[in-house]
Amino acid sequence: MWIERLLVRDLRNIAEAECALGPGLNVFHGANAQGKTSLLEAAGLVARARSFRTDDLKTVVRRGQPSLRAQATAVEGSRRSELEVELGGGRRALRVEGRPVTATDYHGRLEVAVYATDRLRVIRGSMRDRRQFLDRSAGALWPAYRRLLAENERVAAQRGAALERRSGDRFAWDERLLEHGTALRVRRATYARRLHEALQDEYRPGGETYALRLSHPEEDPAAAHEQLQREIETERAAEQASGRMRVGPQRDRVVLEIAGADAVEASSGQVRSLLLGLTLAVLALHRQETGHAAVALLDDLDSELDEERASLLCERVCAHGQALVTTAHPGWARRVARDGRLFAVEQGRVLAA
Amino acid sequence: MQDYPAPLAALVDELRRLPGIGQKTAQRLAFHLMKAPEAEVQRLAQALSGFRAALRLCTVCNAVAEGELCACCTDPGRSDRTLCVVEEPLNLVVVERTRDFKGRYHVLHGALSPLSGIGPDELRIDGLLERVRAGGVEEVILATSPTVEGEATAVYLARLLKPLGPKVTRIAMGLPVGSDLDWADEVTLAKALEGRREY
Repeated sequence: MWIERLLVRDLRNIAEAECALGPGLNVFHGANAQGKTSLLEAAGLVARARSFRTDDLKTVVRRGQPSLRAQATAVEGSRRSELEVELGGGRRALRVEGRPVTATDYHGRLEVAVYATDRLRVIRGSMRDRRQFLDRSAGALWPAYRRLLAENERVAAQRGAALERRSGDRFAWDERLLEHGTALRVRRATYARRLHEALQDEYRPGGETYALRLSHPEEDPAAAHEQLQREIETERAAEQASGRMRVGPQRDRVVLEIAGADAVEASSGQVRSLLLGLTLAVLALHRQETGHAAVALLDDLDSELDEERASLLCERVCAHGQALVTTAHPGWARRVARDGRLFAVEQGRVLAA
Repeated sequence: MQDYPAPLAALVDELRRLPGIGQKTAQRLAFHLMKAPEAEVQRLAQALSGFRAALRLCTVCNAVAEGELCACCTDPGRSDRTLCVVEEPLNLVVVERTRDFKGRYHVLHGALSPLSGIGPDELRIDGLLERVRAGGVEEVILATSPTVEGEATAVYLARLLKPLGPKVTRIAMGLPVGSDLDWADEVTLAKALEGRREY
């Protein structure tokens, strides 16, 4: 799966840009704040209908403009599809072949895995950030996971409201939590285990050990069901007294470790390496599961790695599929893009170099 | 910008309040009515002003009725042994269209939704329990929607109904009949697999 053409309108400092991309390596170079990351953001936006840099989509639309548009021709084998996301005024329109579609219909047509420093919150941010990373990555792979996640959020919100109201239907919401929560935990545990395994085979500078652990790693549905039931019963009195939810997959812990220690405490360099390792593990898992490669969006790769390692990594990623890479170093860009395509980005404009 | 004359603006405003109707549709409808023959508009106005007064809720099942009882509750050809529980009167009409169900109904007028302030007391559950307690009901079919709220309502009712004796069943969920398996989404297919039965 790859992006043949990317068209961006009114996204951050880009008024309009169009690039004809290659199926392998595509390097965007330019000084800082010229719009390189915004191009990657546009590709991510077309794939997932959300920005990997922010949840506040208002800030993504170019100042003074009502809306932004990101459009791509996605190619898989001999099949091409035109995907489009338009955002503005609190509305989001998704189109396939020019026709409006629902989010459920839209998702899964193009997949990306992102490495960008804006994403360091996955490692350093709150537990919610890590859970969200895991859930969104799994949701990109398995459509049923997305539905399960949405239903769980709904159950949690309803159960929370029932507890707050001290409503007589609490047992019905307990039962719903038990069914949906168990299903989500089991799927999440399977995805986390496989991501952990992929993490061992991917980028690990200096042979550091990486680990991804869950507070609820049970993959057997019966055992997971029993565990959640126990938790609900244990917390019953406390939930009743406080009127607040204290159990459920929306509170589970996701821990990332470097050499056996929680990565939240690790150095900046280690954290960036782990994020890169995770990105590559997500790509590998996607390939294993679907048989085709997701598009790798690698922002400012050579700030993390020396030139030689960055080049080797690009080669490795592009052996499987497409990569869109940004760099501030034109020399490295020219050397690494010998087998790919090179674009210069200047003040929001893209020039094929 | 020229505003609509007040009577037209008032009509557009009222139409906009209806579910599924936005500003543009409301304007189109209002202008259609403005150009329509007087008799047609009068018929609509009479239907609107008369229908509320002419209708009430059936005192037994809470379906929409013209008198004290609805057509289903007065039909002697129907069996009292099976009760089908639905969320809304509209759901009853949909089940009726199948012409396959020959039992009685019970309409809850909603589903549990603590977020919207709807708890058991806001639904018409007491009447259902009374009907079952009165005896003669052998099976209660819970035909609430397959949403998070509909499922919770079914779970809630099942817990109250089972000790009263009748068999409590839930409608099956899965693939639409006549559709190709290729077009089924993964979640629906998973539900259908879960509810598979032996031949």
